[in-house]
Amino acid sequence: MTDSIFAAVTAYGVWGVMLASFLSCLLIPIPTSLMMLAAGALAASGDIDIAPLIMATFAGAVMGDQTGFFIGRTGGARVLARLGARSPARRSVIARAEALVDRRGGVGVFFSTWAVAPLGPYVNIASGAARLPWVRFTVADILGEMIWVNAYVWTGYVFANNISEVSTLMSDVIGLLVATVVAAVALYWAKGVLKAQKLKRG
Amino acid sequence: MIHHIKRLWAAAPLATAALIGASVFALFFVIRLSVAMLLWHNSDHREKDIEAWMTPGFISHAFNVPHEIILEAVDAPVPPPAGRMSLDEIAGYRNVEVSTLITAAQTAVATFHANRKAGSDRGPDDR
Repeated sequence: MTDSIFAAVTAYGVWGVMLASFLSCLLIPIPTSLMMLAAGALAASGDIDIAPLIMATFAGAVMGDQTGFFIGRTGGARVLARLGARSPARRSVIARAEALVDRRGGVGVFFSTWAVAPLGPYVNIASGAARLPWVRFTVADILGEMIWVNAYVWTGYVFANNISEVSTLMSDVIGLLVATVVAAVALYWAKGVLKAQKLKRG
Repeated sequence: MIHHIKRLWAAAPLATAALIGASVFALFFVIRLSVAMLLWHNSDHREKDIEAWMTPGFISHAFNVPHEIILEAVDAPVPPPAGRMSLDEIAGYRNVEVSTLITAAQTAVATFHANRKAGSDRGPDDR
């Protein structure tokens, strides 16, 4: 796995990493984080220029997020409206979800772009669908992607001498973070159902 | 704990299944990371092997050997005809097996460090 990522980065360079960062923000599962590590390592050895690498990867990520947001806004909003039209109960749930996104959406977008990047594409589409104001989405997105791109590229740059070891370690850290967030969301969801049932009974 | 999970399961089976599934994955990564931490402690933090994806520049950086020595060892075209080349690409260009180039680079790295060590082992009086 790591070998083929390194091979792809060596072969396609800055453009390859840019395309990967664009596509991975659109639900296409590409290990862009590891590609950025590899590209950072190749920047340390002088095979890739670091400034264009960071700028291109950042641009690709923000363009991917924006595309996801507008897909959510056009397609997702319509799906939500149709779901809400059928039942008033569901309409109130959707309204509550939208209020939550409106209150906390920016923070969610910010962390989903770098701390739990594999969840990022879902958050982009969801924030578009739940009508998070575009300016707030974009500010959170730009700040988050700046952290994401710089963190990985510079980690690769600094740890170029043992990049295989570091990229295995990083992929485990990412896996742990994603699993923990998914578990927390599932727990929140299950508890919400339990509470709703209690209210109904009581 | 078990009682609590049973109650959650009865109320929201899908969410509970997701919770259990994600927890199992989290545990898997915790174990992997713990093992990695132990290995990290005993590692010398250097690449161990030369691989086909590596460029001569990367090999010289990671193994601390002058660039020219690696370029010469793997018979890399200087300047490269189309930018950065991995050992795999150089092998294709020169029409040789990539394993030959890997061995050549390994030998060059080992020889360079052996010579350097021999040089530093000698005291100033021996020179």
